[in-house]
Amino acid sequence: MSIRGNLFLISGIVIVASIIIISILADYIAPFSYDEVAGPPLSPPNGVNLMGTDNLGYDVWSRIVYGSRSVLFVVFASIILSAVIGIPLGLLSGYISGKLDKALSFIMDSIYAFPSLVLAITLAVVLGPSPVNAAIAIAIVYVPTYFRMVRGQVLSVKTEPFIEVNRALGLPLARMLFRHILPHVAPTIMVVFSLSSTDAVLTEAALSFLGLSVQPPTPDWGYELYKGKGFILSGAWWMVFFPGLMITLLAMGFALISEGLSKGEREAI
Amino acid sequence: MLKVEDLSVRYFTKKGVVYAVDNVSLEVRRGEALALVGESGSGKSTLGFAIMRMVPPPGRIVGGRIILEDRDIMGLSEEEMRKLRGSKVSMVFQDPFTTLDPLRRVNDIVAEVMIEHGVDEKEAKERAAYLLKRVGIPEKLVDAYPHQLSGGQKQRVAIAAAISMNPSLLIADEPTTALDVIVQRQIMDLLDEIRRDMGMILITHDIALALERADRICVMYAGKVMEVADKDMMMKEAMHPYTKGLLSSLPRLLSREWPSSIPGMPPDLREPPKGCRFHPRCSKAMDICREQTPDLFSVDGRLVSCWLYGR
Amino acid sequence: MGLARYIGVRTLLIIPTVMILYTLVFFILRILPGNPVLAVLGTKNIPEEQLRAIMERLGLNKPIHVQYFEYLANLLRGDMGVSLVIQGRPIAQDIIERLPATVELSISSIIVSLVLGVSFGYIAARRRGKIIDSSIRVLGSFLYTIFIPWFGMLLQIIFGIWLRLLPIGGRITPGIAPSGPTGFVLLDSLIQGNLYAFLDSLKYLILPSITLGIMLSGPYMRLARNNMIKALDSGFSLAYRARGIKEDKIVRYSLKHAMIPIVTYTGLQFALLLGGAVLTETTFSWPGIGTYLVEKVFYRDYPAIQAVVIVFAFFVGVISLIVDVIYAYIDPRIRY
Repeated sequence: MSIRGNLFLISGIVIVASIIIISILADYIAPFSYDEVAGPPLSPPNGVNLMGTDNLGYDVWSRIVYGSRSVLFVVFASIILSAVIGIPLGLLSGYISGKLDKALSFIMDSIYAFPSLVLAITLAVVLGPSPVNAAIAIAIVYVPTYFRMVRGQVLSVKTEPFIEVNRALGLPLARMLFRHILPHVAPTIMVVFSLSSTDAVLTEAALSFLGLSVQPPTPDWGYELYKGKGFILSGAWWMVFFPGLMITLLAMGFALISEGLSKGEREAI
Repeated sequence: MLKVEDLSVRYFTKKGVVYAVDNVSLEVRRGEALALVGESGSGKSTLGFAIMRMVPPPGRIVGGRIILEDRDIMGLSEEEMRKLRGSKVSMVFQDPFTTLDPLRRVNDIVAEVMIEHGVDEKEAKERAAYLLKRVGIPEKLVDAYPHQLSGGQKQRVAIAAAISMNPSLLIADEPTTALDVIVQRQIMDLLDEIRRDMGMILITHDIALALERADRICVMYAGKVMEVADKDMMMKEAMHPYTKGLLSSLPRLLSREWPSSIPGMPPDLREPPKGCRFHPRCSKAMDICREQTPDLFSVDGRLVSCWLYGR
Repeated sequence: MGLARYIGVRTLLIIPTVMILYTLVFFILRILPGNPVLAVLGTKNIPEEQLRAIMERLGLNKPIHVQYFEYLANLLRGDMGVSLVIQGRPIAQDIIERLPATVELSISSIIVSLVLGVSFGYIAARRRGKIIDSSIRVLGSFLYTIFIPWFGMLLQIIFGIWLRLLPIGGRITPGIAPSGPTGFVLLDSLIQGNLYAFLDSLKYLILPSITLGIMLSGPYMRLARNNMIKALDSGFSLAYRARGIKEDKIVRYSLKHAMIPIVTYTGLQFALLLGGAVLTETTFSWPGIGTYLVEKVFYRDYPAIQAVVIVFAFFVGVISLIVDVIYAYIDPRIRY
């Protein structure tokens, strides 16, 4: 792998891992609880409150630490859900072809063409605001991504001789798909994972920014941003700066991973 | 009209220095067609680019002189050289499918050459239309886009663009290799007819084509000149073993013998053989051939770089 | 075939595309669990008959396929139904009022992103292999990870609060807006010769369009760079040089070649643009369809949400048409 690819991959992993660790060790890392008054409201960053306090006097840093849990939950839940639905469908559709494939591809392409955020918002509204529903909404939006990637790979692997041989031997469908085709598709899936994680972070942040994910007082970075918006005029820049920074950092971490992985894949080719 | 003296071109690649053209000298007189014949890697294309001072990086001309119409163009600035390209010396390339800008009309492509070199726009467009018809493009295709033309027609357009400013020298690098046989003949006929008193360097790997169309033939191998002779002389008898090998590899209609090929492979030009470049494959190689590079000896009105003819 | 005929054929193709999206949206909003009326009214206990009466008034009682076609028929007549929340207010009117603002923002953002993307891509192509080239490539790959509202708010803080140079929200100073024919404030002020209003609205437009524009510019940088390099290295550029054409001209021709994939990408990323527009509008209180959607989402005004989403779908179709037409204009190989 190229030096730059390696660099990206490692920095991305470091960033994402750090945030995961922060979320796991939240109780030990956060100086305060997320709904505990930790200082005078709207105080700028100081010795006690490293990132200042919000309008209710909660410590921003603590809210960020605990907020990482909501964010990571939604992100991982949604991409796992997307993958679990999209990958098998892609494998099946690509392998079987025919009418099923045409119909599925058509539906997937329509979803894919539609603005993802608008779709996620619509789904989240209909399902009701909660982290689980947000995860479901995001999952549905990204199913086509997995589907298309996997299907594409299956189409190119399908023509390989060893597939023909296995088919002639009468291998059952599930075995064929998972034992033989999936391994070839795996590297692409890793790249899609990281890529859609980036999107999932940003979409989750957008949903909670619009109030469609967690509900107060549970902390979530996007929601913190929404709160902060109302206090810009009061000069409380720290309410906006830090949560937004975390969102961007996490998104960038995943993006670094995906760039690092795809550079590696390209080298391998 | 063109004199190349001791020209050397090297490619400075990551994997080593390639001695693509090594101390090559040649001459092209006004109005004559010189064929530059050789296998792939012989340096003939590089030489062609060098004369235009268009050797692509990581290549560079490292020595020698190029004198075009009594002017040493090696000393010219890039801007001055640019003015010469297309007007005094022109090039036609091998693959007509990639050398015409697909987003522009054929007429504009040809006219632009003239406009760039100072011709008034209206006149240039008229002349371009005339030239296109002259090279055989039908009237209705004069304003067409390149993708609407056949391969042969595309090459005609390229030729029209190249000769539009009446250059003294036209360099044709494998102009027919990418075309089918019948079209090849048409294009070569066109070139013969249209260049009138322009000098031409015909770069080709096909010695039969060279014998058919050129006035003089210059045979290159591994970056050096092996033999230079008038067409008739060469057809009658070649002197250099390499040239002999090339000629005997041509199938002959009325002969009983099978064409023979030259055993071996051309050398890796990052480490050219010591002495005569051809000696590893030469059936007549002598000790001196392995040690010293032969000069170009003048024998019977031709030039040969071979110790068989030297002192 | 000619450009005109290509446009004609391509326009006809919009119809099936939009129909598909309409169907999709329609079913999404109905298949998912939850009774929309209950959601709006809150899950209080409403007597059966009253609930049924409300639903009947809104036409929600009829079988699904009937609703599907009725709504479609109404749509074609320009009737998007009425708001669930603001009693009786026709949605279509709201949308028409809000649409120009979003279009204005979208167009100016695209302009910003094209200018930024193509110029950076150009610089990277010209200085290929050097540090600035790699930096621009990295920048282009990661620009989209910046959370739009965050970036927008930072700009608001810096330019609106600390430096007090630009306004932080809204579209124009209240009261100055020209009541023009098009609804596009910029155009209307120009039409009326109201320079003050024009400059004023421009001030409000700057931050939002820069925010969205920067976020969208990343891919353009890469596209411009890679395709310019491809063109500069290609056979026809070589041929140009051999004919003595000036290098700047050749660079310009390469730029034209690079525009083809750029235009295509603009069409493809329009969906991205709409999502970004929603966030940008919300951040800057820009009175467009994005903020309209968000408001309706907040109030659970389902008919309005449905209408907006369909409008978005329609836009995606129209833009994709425009893109294809521009593509055909630039690349003659498509139409002949």
